[in-house]
Amino acid sequence: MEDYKKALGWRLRWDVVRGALPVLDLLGCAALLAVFWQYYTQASALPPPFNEVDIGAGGFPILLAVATLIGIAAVAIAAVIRLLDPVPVAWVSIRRPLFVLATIGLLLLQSIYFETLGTLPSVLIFSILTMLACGERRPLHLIGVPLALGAFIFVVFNLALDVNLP
Amino acid sequence: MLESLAIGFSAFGDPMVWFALVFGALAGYLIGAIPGLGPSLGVALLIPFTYGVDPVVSIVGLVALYAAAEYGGAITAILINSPGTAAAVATSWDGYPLTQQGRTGEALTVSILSSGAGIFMATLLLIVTAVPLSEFALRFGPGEYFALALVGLSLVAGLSEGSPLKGTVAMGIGLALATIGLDVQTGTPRFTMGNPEFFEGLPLVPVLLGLYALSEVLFMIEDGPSEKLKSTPIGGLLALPVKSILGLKTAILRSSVLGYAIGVIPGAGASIASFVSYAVSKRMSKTPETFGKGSLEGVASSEAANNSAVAGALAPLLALGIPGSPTTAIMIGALMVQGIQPGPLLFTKSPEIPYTVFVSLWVGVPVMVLIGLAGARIWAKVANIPRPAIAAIVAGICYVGAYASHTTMFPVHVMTVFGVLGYILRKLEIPLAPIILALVLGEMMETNFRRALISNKGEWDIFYTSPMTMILITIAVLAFVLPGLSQLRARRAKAQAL
Repeated sequence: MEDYKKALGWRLRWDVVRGALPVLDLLGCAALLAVFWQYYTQASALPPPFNEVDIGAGGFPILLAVATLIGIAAVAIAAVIRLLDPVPVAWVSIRRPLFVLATIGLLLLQSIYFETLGTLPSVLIFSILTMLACGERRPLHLIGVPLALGAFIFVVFNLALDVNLP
Repeated sequence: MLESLAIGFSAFGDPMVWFALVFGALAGYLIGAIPGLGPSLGVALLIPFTYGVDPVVSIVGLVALYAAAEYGGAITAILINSPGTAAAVATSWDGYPLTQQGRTGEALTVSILSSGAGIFMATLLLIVTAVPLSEFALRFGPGEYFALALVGLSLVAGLSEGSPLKGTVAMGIGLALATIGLDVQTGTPRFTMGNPEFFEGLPLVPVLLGLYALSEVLFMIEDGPSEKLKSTPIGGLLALPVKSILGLKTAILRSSVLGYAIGVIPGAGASIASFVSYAVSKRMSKTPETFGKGSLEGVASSEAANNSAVAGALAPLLALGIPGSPTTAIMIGALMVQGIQPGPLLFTKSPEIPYTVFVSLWVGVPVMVLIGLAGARIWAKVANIPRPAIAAIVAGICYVGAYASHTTMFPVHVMTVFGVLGYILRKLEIPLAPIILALVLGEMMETNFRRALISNKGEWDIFYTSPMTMILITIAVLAFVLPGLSQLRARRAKAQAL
């Protein structure tokens, strides 16, 4: 019974990051509480309704924020109960965490440089990098797939659908 | 109704509609046969290909993909015991044992034919029920409409995989996202952070692409270059005697009706339909002992049910404008891109849309059966497409699709943020379906909520004095409470057992 409790929290190995779901739930709830509290504050600051029988621009968001804050608190309480419960907790694991992080970085870079680089160069470069991050090492695949994808995108979006791509 | 159906059939005079049907079916089989990718991701990825295309052509392609993805999910379930979609899990229970017995051809033939039969019968039920449902919904006032949307959302949140509490929070996140932009009634900017690009609200297609497709890329990165799956050679396709197929007619008929009925319930979907139908067929079978060991009746029940649930999920979408599943929520987004608002008025304002959907489901049956049987050997190999290639293709289409939606970089940024967010939410086991549904329904819910209050001079009793509203709100509350209670009971039983 005590083993899994001792094992709670983070365990970092080179190929996998693991965390107890209730602990992650509590972290997620903290983040969501902050977001929805901010949402509630902004909704409360919205102008009052012109029509006295209406609830105004902020009425619905305020109700929503209150309901969601209650929901988040309930998830947090449930997480605490699960931590104290004798039933073993569920675990969340992220395999190949460094590659996942690298890919998130790639996606962000692509969203910044997509227009600057142009569609086809961007698709070609980032496809190769995504495949590398996913573990592909065969040169023929690394060249062939991005080229085929680029050609497909050019034919469908530029020629067939006449979309104005950068 | 016959005149309207004729409009639907006449749409097939356009070769582009046929092209969309075949393209959608091929894409659906491809998506369905790849384990891990499902119809939701497929429909989201297809949306960028519908920009500037005629709405009728687009909807035919999307519906064909949705149905074919459910067909395709069974192929890898039977061949390699790796269901392409969650709805094909029950198919693998008997399909794979049949493959091990060297009866792959029989299993595939039964699965494809029962899928076709299921969708054909469910479409009949769809026509019979959707039209009266839309006529009935025309009588709804804003209070009823708000309550109806709440029922849809609460069922989806309550029936989502995992904790119903997390489903509720997901619903809150989706509704909050829907309030971003100018307030429809007063024009006040809300939660826009002073950025005018948010004034029109969050762009729906990039959010869908991010949550469903881009987040999947990160899961593929986690999987890495997975090993090749061993597939068995397919022999004896269509070698099954007609008598054997006819012997399954009762199971197919029963599962089609059950699948349709379950598909209509928001949140229930094709997976629940196939599990329930499988269980019912096993209970009613003359040979229940063969279930799980290679029963053709088991394969037929699961496949007829999960495909008829596709038609079932379209009923609330078309008749009420309430999507019943994540895939139909994405489809509503695709329709909105085309300027079409599903709901009761769709049948009077644009009858060509719903009736073409009905007809395309029928016309699609022989097309999909043909593609399924003729391409069985190809679909079997699809599961072996290297994951890195799929990740690169999905990411590439996502970026181009997001950019093409507005031809600016704003949707690309939105999609990237939602891709990462979708990955985190899925890791935390927060379901995405309620977020999407709430995002799609949010504006309609708020508008009707406020209209109901204004029409009742600001008095809140409108939500509990109208019998219909009260019934709907009670269903919504029960949909939240009951799954939570049953989970709590299950957990207590588990704790006591320890």
